[in-house]
Amino acid sequence: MGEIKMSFFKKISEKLAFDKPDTRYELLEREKGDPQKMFGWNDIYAQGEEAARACPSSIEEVEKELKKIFRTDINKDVIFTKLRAGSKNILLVHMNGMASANTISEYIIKPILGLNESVCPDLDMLSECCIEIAEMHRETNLIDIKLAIMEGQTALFLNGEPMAIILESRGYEKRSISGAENEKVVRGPKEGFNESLRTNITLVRRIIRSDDLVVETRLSGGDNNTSIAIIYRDGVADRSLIDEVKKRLARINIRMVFSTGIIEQLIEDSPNSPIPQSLATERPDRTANYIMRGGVAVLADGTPFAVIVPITFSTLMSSSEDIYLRKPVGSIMRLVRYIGAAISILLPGYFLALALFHQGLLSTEVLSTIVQSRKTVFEPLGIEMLLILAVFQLIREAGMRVPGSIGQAIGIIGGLIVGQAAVAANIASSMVLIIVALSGLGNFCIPDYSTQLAASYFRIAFMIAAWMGGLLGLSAAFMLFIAYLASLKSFGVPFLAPYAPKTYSKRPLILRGSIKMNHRSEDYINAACDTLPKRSTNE
Amino acid sequence: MNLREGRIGKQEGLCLAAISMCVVGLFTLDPDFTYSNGNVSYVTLAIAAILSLLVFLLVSACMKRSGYEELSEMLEDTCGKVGRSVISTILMLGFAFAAYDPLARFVQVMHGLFFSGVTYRMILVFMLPSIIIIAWMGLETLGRTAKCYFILLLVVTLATVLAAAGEYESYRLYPILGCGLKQGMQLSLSETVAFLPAFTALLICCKGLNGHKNMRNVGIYAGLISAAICAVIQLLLGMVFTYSELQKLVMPLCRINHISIDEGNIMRLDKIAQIFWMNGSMLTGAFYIYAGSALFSRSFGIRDIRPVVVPVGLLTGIFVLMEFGGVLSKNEWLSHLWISAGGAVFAVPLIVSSLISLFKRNENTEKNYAKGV
Repeated sequence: MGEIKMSFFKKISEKLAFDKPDTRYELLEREKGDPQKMFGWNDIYAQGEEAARACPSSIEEVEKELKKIFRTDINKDVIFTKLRAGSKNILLVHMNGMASANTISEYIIKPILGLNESVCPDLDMLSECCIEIAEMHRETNLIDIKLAIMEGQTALFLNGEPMAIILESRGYEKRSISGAENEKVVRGPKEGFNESLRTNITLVRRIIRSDDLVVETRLSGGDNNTSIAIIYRDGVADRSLIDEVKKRLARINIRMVFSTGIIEQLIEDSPNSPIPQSLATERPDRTANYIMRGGVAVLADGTPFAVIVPITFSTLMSSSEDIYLRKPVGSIMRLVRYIGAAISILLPGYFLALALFHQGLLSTEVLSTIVQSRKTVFEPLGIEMLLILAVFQLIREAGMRVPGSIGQAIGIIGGLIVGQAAVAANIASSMVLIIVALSGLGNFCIPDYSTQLAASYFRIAFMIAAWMGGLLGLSAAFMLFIAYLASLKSFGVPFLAPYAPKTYSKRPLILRGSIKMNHRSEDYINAACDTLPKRSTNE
Repeated sequence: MNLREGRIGKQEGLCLAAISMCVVGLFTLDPDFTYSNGNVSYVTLAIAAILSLLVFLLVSACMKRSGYEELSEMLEDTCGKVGRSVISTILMLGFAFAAYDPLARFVQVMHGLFFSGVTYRMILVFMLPSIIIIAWMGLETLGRTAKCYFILLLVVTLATVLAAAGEYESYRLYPILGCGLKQGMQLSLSETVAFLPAFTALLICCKGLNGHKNMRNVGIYAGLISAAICAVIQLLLGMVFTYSELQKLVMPLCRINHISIDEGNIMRLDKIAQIFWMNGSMLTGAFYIYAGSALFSRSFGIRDIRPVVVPVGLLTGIFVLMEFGGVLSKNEWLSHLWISAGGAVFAVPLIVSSLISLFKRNENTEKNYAKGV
C-alpha cells in the first residue's frame, strides 16, 4: 500500500516537474557559453533519417538499388532512361511529373546524344562541356540522391563513377504568385507567398538584397521529407536564437510535416497555449521586416506561410500596413485595434456582470432599456449570451469554409435574418445581439488569425467568469489572463516585452514608433546593436 | 536586456514592491488605532517607510558585505541550520499573515459594497485560487503582471483623488499632529508592518532581482515612492474626512468619491477603482505567498517552491476564514499583536542576523589573516 502511494506521488511529482530545474531555453546562456546541442543541426540522424549509403559505381547496380528503393514493380512514377554518351553508358533517373520533361530532353538528353562515339566522357566533361543546365552538384550518398529525385531533380549516373550529378530540372505545377488573402492592406505590396519554397525564398530575397541574408535549407523531420528553409541575417540575428531554432527543428520527429502550421506547434515554447508564440504570415514584406530586425523565419515547401520567431504580444497586434502609413495614422490604427481586442474579450463578460450582479453601476435609462429588451426572452441572460456567442462562432466558421461570395451571403443571412428572427422568437434580446456583434467586430480588429481565435475562446471564459462572479469573477479572470500572458515566452523572449520587461529598443508597444528608429536593434531578441550601414567619415 | 529564467528587472521589482507597500499602507491600517487622537498618518506612514527602508538597507549592506546571494544563506550562516529553519518558518507565517490582512479587508469590502447577498467564503473562492495560481507561476510572472497593473492602479488612484477634488478642506486636518510625539512614534513603529514584509520579500528575491545592487535600488525607489503615495493620499483623506469620521471607516479611500461621483451610464469610478485595488491586494497576497514559500523551500532544501506555494496560500485562506468565522475576533490579542508589533516579526530576525553577520565576517577576516589568505 505504502509503495503504491509512493509511486503515485512520485508520478504526480514527475508530471508536475517538481524538483527539477527549469530546462527551458534561455537566451543569455551564451554568457556561460553557447547552449548545448542535444540534437544539433549536424547530428540529426537521431530523428529518424536513414544512414548514408554509398553510391555503387556500376549503373546496373545503381538501377537495381534505386528500383528497389522506389518499388518500381508497383510504382511507375520513376523514370529510368539509359543513354549512350560517346563510349560510355549513362543512366538518368527522374520522377515523372515532378521534373520538367522538356528540360530533360532539351538540355540533358539532346547534348548527351550529340556526343561523338569516339569520346570517352567523364563527369567533369559532362558537367562542364555537355549538359546545358546551370544548377548542378554531385552526390555520393544514395539516400541524398533519392531525396533529390523525389524533389524533381534528375540524377545522372555515369558507368564506373561512384557518384551522381544532380541536375536541376524541377518543373511541377504550382500556383502563381497571388495576393495575400488573409492579410490584405490598402497601401503596400499586394503579393503573398505561394506553395513553392523556391518562389517564397525568392520573394524574400527580392526585398532583402543584403549579403548577410542566409537561407539554410534542409528536410523537415517528418517521413514525407518536406523541405524547409531557415532565413535570417547572419551577424544581426542572435546566434543562440538561430541555434535554438535549428535545435528545435532538428527535434521534429513525426509522421508528416505538411505545413508551417505543424512546424510552429512543434517548436513553440508552449504548444498547448491558445495564444501563438510565433507569427504566421503570408506576406513577404512582413517576413522581410522581421528578418531585417533580427528575427528568424522558417518557410516550408507546400505552405504559403512563413513562421517568424521570436515574437511578442505587440507583434501579434501589429499589421504590415502600420509602417506604410504616417505615424499618427498608424498609431491610431493600432490603438483602435487594441481597443477592439479589449472590447472583443471583455464586453460580453462586463455586460453580463453589470446586468446580473451590479445593476447599481448602470444608469436608470440603460437598466430600463435592458429590462425592456429582455422582457419577453425566456432563457436566463447567461444562457442567452452563450447561445448567441455560439451562433456567432457558427456563422463565422460556416462563412469561412464556403467560397467567397457565398461566405459573405452566410454572414449577412446569419447576422441579419437569424438575429432578427431570434429577437422575434423571443430567443434573444436586441441588447445581447448588439453586445455580441460589437464583440465580434472587435475580434476582427485583431490582425492575426490564430490570436483572433484565441481571443474568442478567452471571451467565452471571461463571460463564464463574469456569469459566476460578476465583476469580481471578471477581474480575477482578467488578472489571471494578464499573468498568463506575462508567463508566456517565445524562444526565451518574454511575451509582453518590450513593456514588461522593459527594454532599451524604445519601440512603443501600442503606438507606432518613428520610422527613423527602424534601424535600432531589438534588444529583447539580442539582435546586433545598430543595423544602419556605417557611413564613411568623408560624407 | 536580461532574459534569464526566474529573473526580473528593476521596473518589475519596483512595481511589485510599490504595489504591495501602497496596498497595505492605504487599505489595511486599523482605523481605531491609527486615528484615535487625530490624523497624523500622513507623517507616520512616511516615517514608517523610512524606518523600514533603513532596516532594508542595513540588511542588504550586510548581505553584500558578507557575500550572501540570498537571505536564507545569511540566516544559515548567522543562526545555524536550526535557527534558519525556525526563522524561516516564523517569517513564512508572517508572510501568510501579511497576505491575509489586505485579503480579508477586501473580502469585507467586496461583501459590503458588491455582494452583500453571498458569504465571505464565496468571495474568497474567487480571490484565493487566483492568488495561489499567480504565486505558483513564479517571480517573472508576478513582476510582469505587477508592471502591467501598476500604471492602471496609479491612473485609477489619481482619478479617484482628483474626482474628490471639490471635497478637500484643510480644516478637517485639525488637530494637526494632535496625538503627540510619543504616540506618533508608536504609530510609526507599528505602521512599519505595511512596509517591512515587502522589503523582506525583496531581500528573499535578491537573486531574482539580479543581485544586491538592483535589489538595493529597487528597495530605495519602491520605499520612497510608496512613502510619498501613502503620505499624499493619507493627507488628502484627512482633508476629506475628520479623524473621528476616519475612525469609523474601514477603507476610507474606497469611500472618498462616494460623495462626489454621480451615477454614470455604464460604470461608476468608485466601484471600478475598488475592483482594481482589489486586484492590487491580490498581487500583494501573491507576492507575499511567493516570498514566504521561497524562503521556506530554500531553508528546507526544497528545490521547487511550487509545492510550498499551495499550503502557504491555503494557510492565508484559513486566516481569512478564521477572521470571518469569528475565531480571530474572539482572540483579539492576535490582531492587536500584529497591529502593534507585526513589523518586529520581520525586523528583529533581520537586524539580529545582519549584526551577527558583521561580527562573523570580522572573525572570518581575522582567521583569514592568520592563515595568510
